[in-house]
Amino acid sequence: MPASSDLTLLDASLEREIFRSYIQRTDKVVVILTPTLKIRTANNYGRSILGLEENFKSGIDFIATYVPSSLAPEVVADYETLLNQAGTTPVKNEFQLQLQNAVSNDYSWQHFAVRDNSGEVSAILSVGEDVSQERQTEAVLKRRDATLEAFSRAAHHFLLAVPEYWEENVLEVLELVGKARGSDRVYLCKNTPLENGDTGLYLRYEWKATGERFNFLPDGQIKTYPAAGLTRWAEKLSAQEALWEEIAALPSGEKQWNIAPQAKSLVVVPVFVGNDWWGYFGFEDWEEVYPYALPELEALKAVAAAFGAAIKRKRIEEELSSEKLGVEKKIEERTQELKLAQQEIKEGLLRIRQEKARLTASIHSLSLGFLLTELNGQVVLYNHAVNDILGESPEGWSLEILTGRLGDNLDLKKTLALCLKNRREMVVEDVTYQDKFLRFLFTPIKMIEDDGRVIGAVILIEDATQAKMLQKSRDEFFAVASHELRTPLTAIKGNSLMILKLFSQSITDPQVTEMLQDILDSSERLIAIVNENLDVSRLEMDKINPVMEPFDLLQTIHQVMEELKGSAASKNLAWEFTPPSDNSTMVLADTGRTKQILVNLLGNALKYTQSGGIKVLIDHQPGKVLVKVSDSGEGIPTEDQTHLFEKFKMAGDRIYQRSDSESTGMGLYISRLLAQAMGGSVYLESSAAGQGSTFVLALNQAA
Amino acid sequence: MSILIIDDDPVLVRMYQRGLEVSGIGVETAEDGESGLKKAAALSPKLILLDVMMPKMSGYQVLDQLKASPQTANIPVIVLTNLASQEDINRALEKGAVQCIIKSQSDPLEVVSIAKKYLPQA
Repeated sequence: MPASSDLTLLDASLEREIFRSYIQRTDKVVVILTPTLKIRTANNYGRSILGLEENFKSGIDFIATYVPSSLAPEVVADYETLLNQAGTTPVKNEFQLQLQNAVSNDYSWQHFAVRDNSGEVSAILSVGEDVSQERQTEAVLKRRDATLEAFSRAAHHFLLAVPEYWEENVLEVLELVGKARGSDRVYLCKNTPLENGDTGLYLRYEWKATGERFNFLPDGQIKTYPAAGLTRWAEKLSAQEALWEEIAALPSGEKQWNIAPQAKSLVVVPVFVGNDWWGYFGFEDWEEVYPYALPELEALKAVAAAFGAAIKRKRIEEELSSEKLGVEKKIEERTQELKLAQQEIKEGLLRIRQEKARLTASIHSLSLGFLLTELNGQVVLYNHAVNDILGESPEGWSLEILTGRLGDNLDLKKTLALCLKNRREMVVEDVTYQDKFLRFLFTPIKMIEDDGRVIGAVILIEDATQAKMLQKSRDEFFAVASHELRTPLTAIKGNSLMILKLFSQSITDPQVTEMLQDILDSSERLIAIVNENLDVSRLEMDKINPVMEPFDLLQTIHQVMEELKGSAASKNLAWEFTPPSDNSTMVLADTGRTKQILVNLLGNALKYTQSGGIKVLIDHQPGKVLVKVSDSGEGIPTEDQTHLFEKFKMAGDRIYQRSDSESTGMGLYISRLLAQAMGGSVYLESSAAGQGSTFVLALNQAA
Repeated sequence: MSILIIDDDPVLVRMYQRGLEVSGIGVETAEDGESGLKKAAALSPKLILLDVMMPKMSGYQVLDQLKASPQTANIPVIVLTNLASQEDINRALEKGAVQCIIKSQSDPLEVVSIAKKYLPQA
């Protein structure tokens, strides 16, 4: 022991008292362990945290009792390091205490070895500091950063949004923010004024973490806030306040509308356009209740504000570009606002310039041939793939050189001129070049801020040889397979029929007759299906050439209606045709194929109508004669309408379920192909639940 | 023997043969164009039922040769096929077939009654 230290002036017991006092007062957990890691004692704070009685019996195994088993090996290793090293360096680590019936916080630990005179470790001092608060703050700041990062990208999206891509951009933003925030569902509800002066609302945009995106229109889904059980929300949101809600704690009325059943908590943030309350953003969490920290909430509010500003800008732009606003005064009012908006766009354009460098690199890595032309047809940029597809060109590429290469197979200049003039995409398929099939896509380049002025075009050249070969061999395989199926089917049908007709005296059991009849019916059905498939593949291969001739549609309609009259009568359905007063029903089409389409449309109408009736009427559009077939059936649900004309419908689809087993469900697909082969079209004009459907066949009027 | 069936599919041949024989019509068969032409010349059938899709020689080629030979040119030929397009049917008729029957759309009894139209009444 050093003899002349200041410390020696202190009484040893007083010294211990000072330490004891400090240890008792600190807000750290202090535990003293034996070298075998049993608890010898702890300070008061430590005792309360660890749940130890005032006079607890020492000897509790610290590791087994308080260290989570997953971390125990590491903590034990740290203690061993401490025991085995010489000197006084503490060992640091971090672990949660495993507590009974209490929330376990994060503790940052320092462990000190206390050695006796001989240098042996006589005790271990473990001091733990609760760092949960800091860790949480760190996490919150990280999350806010992520949200803000998403927000800046979202703002970028809004900045560049042109009205025609507006909806995609909004959905893009929902996804960006949703992913950054880790939400399971993000949506925008929009307010809409009702006739009686109330505020209505409906779900406008929705994104789910599962990847689904929805873009809803208001039809039939508008509710008032009270009807949605959201009166309290309306008060807060209209006062520019955001709300955080734990779903389990919501008054029952507010669980009624638009909250996902699996949601555990949510935040709603109001959107304001100027001083007008537009609606609100919703952010749902499904896994567990997510406690938002203030900085995160602020970030979401910033997203909502940016969205409001973007809507405002969009409105101004739309107003300015709409013709009805010719009033100069109004323009003056708006000019200032627009200037600000334009400033934003300029900043966006700066970013675009940076993007351009990246874009150029991407263009060169394309396997598609890419050519960029000016309005006058001068080629300003092309990529290496053009050489790969058309062969090297030492003097580079111009329209003249391209035309020279392609010869008569493609009138490049004319197509490009059409594309620029009509301001729309043009596709030219099956351009033969040497032994290749090429596909050309012409796209006009429109300026976003200049009224969509066209400044040039992009020509893409795709080597479609392989795809075409594959498609062709697939179609041919299908045709041959269908054909090959017919031969055995013919034998099944013919033999079962002959047994029934010629050998019925050898059948003694009537059940056998019944079974044979089933075999016969089934083979006939299969043959019908194969024939339909064959029809489709021939149509798809353009092997069916309609015989185009002028004829009177009136007669064909009468004919088909006469043929199907019996089925209508047997279902007690009205069966009406209103011929037009003038004789403007001459069309240029294939009579037989037109009849086939009408049989399909009227047959479907009959099939799906149980009461009421079917009406046929003639209408006109310039150069077209329209046959409209309306039924009073149950209508086609909106979600199924897009699949109506598809070749194969999804199983489980309602359309599929309601189509009876005798049809292959390809009728509409075939009808559309046939109509298109004749230069006409077949489409669904209208359909609403409970109001029936109207299908239209449009054919070219005979000159 | 009244009818010669030239078809490479034994199951279908058996079916048509059975249908015809039950109706009291004698049948001879050939499984390809070559033996069909030989039998047509040797047996002078009253009617020939001819398939189109056959290995080696197609039914159209057989039909051309039947019509080209004075020995067989006057035997009526009904083309039996599963090629259902109007073009296929026209082609058979242009080459001199008296009728074209789509196999999957006609049952064997219809084939029998059509065949009977071209046979001299016994």
